[in-house]
Amino acid sequence: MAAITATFSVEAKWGEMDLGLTGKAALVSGATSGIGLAIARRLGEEGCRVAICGRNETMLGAAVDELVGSAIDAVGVKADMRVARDVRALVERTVEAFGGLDIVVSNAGTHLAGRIGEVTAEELAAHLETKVVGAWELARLAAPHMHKRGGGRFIVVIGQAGKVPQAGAIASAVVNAAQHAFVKSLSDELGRCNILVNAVCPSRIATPLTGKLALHNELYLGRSLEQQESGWGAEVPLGRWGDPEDVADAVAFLASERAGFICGANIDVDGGHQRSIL
Amino acid sequence: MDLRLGGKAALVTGGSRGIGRAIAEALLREGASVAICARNPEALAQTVGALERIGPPMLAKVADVTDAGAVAAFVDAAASALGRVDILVNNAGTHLRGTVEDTTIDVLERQLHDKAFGFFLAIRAVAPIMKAQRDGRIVNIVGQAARHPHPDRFPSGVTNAALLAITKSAADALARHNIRVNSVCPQYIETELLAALIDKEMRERGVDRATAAAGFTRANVLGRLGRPEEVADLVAYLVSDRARFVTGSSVSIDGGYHRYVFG
Repeated sequence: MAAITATFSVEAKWGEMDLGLTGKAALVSGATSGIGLAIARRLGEEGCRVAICGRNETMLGAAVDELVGSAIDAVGVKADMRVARDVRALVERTVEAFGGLDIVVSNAGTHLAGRIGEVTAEELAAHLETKVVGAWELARLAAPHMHKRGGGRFIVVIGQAGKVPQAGAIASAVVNAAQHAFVKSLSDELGRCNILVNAVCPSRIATPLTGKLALHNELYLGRSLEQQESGWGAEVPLGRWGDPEDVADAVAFLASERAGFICGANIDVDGGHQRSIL
Repeated sequence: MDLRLGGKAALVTGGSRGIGRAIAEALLREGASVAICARNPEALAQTVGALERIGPPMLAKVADVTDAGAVAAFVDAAASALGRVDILVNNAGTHLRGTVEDTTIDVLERQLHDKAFGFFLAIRAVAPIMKAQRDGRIVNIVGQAARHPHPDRFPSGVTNAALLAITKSAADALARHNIRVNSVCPQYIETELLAALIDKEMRERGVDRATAAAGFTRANVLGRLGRPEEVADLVAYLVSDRARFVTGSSVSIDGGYHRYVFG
């Protein structure tokens, strides 16, 4: 068998992967902490101008200050994704600030724990309004602006409860499965206009949210934080939890010009946690 | 985005043409040294001639991935020439068409050997090296015949489903050694393989090239064929530290073709 070897002393310029994000206008919902803030920071570092929203004005101010402090062109808009006029104002303010809109990351929403006897219909509805109805309104209002730019990206962050139902996660399982159906259907509708819709599916990411869940388990289940953390690692194939930056990197890739043929797809950022082969 | 692939060593099977060649090129451009194998020595030499000027060290070896000895020899040669094996991209394979009725056991065996068993052999060959390094990144280039079965894609559907199972099982088994295993499922990428399928359509249906090609572009949401470079960019992301918490995942790159909600 013939082997052909070529070795060069290396002076060639190996570039970083050019994501083509410089100057793009991005909007990230639910971005005052955790995964959303990491996504806003990552997109900003890649050259995007970033609008973020959240419900808590103090947290929003702090998040914008942090981004601006890192030399990121960022604006904050106080908005509740359950309120249609808030979503409209959010899109309008973003377009006003940046002159258009190229990338939307729908990240707002949380995990709703509890068995069916513990979660009321009203709580489920509020959860659905934030993660599905709010994202719907966001897509409806953002798409025309992306059309004007000749294309865009709409990325939905969907917790793995949608693919991996488990005890005490029925509300998230139902709502997140609806998010998956939304992503695939929306990708069909907008794909022909070069607006690419995809999902990033995190699980086992250490965030302020999981910190609260851990505290809850410590108080009510009597499991120490150390016990919980060792247990967490054990159930993840990679043997550890991820961090918000892991999710942000996947979002940045999908938002980029490098992901021009990916449409209606998911990337799992879960350390191998989900059990389907698809 | 700095993928931090400089100094990494990558193996790409079926690296002389199409998607495999584009992957080798993308990894070289990110600063990784790359070993490719393929069956055809002329195609291999031509590809090395074109890609070696990018800069990082390159190695090419004639190998048929269905032959366990040849796979082991390729991995050994790459490990000694490049000093490490950080990345394996299993790409060599073919796409055989046929229904459950007209596929003979020989055809099904050939498809399984050419693709599934070849991927399996290469994973087995690199695993000990990656375990010793406590670092490895494997990507299997699978295809969408598993997610989107079709009566005329029986051999590919069976093989690709097996490959997704291999990906998930290998990801589970190797995760604790910090070896990540993912698959990429392309469809409708502009390659010689697709050109051959368009030729086949022209012959069988008696239509011109534009009509035959339109059947392929219409089949996906974006209304165009993807480029090998686009698959290569996804692979570069997945083998990089930027995807360090991604394992056991199967990522579609098909212009929206597949109809499955969860992926």
